[in-house]
Amino acid sequence: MKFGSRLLAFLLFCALILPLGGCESTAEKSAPAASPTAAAPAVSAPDATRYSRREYDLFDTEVILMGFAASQEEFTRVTDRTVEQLREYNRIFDGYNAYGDLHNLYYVNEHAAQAPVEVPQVFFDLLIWCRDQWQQGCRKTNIAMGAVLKIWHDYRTEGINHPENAQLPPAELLSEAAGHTRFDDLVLDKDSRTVYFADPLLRLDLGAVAKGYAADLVLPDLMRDMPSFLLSLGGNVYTGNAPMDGRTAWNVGVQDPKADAAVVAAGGTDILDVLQVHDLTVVTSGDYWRFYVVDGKKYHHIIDPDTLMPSEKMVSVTIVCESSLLADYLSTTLFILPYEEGKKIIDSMPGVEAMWVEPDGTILATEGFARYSRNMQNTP
Amino acid sequence: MQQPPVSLKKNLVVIFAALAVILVVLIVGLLGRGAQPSLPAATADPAPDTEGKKDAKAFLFISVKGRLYAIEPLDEERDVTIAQETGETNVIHLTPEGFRMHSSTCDNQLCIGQGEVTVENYTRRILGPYVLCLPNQVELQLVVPGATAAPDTPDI
Repeated sequence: MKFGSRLLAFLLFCALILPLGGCESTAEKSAPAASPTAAAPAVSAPDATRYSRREYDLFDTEVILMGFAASQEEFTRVTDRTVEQLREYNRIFDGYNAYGDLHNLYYVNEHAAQAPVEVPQVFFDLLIWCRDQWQQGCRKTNIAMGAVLKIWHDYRTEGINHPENAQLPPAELLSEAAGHTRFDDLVLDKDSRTVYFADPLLRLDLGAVAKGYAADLVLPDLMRDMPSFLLSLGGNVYTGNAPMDGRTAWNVGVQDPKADAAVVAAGGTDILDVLQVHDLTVVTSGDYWRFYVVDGKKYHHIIDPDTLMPSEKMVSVTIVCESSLLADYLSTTLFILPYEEGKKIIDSMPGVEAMWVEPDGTILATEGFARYSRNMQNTP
Repeated sequence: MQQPPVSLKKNLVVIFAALAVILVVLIVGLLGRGAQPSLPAATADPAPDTEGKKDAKAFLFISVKGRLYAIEPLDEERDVTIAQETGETNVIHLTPEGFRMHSSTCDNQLCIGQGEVTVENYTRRILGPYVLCLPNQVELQLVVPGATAAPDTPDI
């Protein structure tokens, strides 16, 4: 009898998940452990269920889509299109692979020194946006720094694949490449929508902006068809309207840059803070995500254009604002700047909030950041 | 006077028959998960064991390339190997309390560094109930039936 009821309970549990078998997405009903909605099952919207899916072949990272939809089919229909759009932007901003005759980032880097290359409108718009930012005076995020970043990328990849041979790039190699990172050598022609490199050794790197920009580009369709959603492109999170389970906001975790699995195993946590947001983007740049180790020291991927070395002023910077592109750009920029200079930039931008974590663990934040922060709300 | 019980009996028989069919479909579906023909890139070792699942307090959901591939009960200490046809191999170590990625053929080994997920610790992890191996596209998720999350548990 006891066995029977247990078996029945388990089978009912299975019945919940079985209809989803083989699908790319899972209804979060099957995953109560991960789902705060389990505590308050769709009270305010009994006709909307939370679904999620993950994609692993976009932007060299993990893409997560969650949302409240009337049915699995509805969710799949909406997110299939989003994934397709992201796939197209991934091709356009891919710096390592060619896709036929698509004039993507890779193609531009290979050909724009020989003759002007016409690029897709979204590509061109992003370059113009980055140039505008550059001309407004903040000179820390330079998309024309590809020559330097390529060297770091190659040494990092080698160091990850063969840790015993991990080396730092020679200073001469870096400074030689740094001679080919002048933004003014990036020639953009609005009429012909072309890109030309006046310096044949100039290379573009859009790592600091491409994911945020792609998120912004897919938002309008998501907003229209599944307004209560959450999109994550490997740490770049965009939240739509509040979740339809009675809560007023999504919970976005911010990783503690100083903690790891050992801290968790010892009874601690690697969650630094939980931000409660909706209709906003949350982007964190950290030193803990892409790095390699040389002689016991970590070298991460955010390179200061002045020192040509990984910046050590901050261990993480989180930006909250409406534009994912701006947040992506600013999180990288502020990561490289001293706190005071970064603070000046943020203060000049209405609706943009930031949190800095310094190497000694000191947490600094703009005044407006506190309203999103679980920790800062609970500690007056 | 004898009619009602008979028709009730008939109804019961029909109901039990229907239930039996549903159960069989469910069980077959569950067993079929272990070697889904739509997932030729990976094979499970060992195949999911439904007998053992009834006493597990938590389950490991394994997804490969975005598709649910197997459900393993956390019942006893053992290893599960996911060998994809393309050569990627991940070995997961299971205990009654949780699991961790024991080994992986991936370059960056970040999945190993993500440590152990347990029924006790998953709410304190930034990755929550997940261990992710991006290069091999293997996703491990702890599922605790009936668990309720705290209001500040991250959605992501």
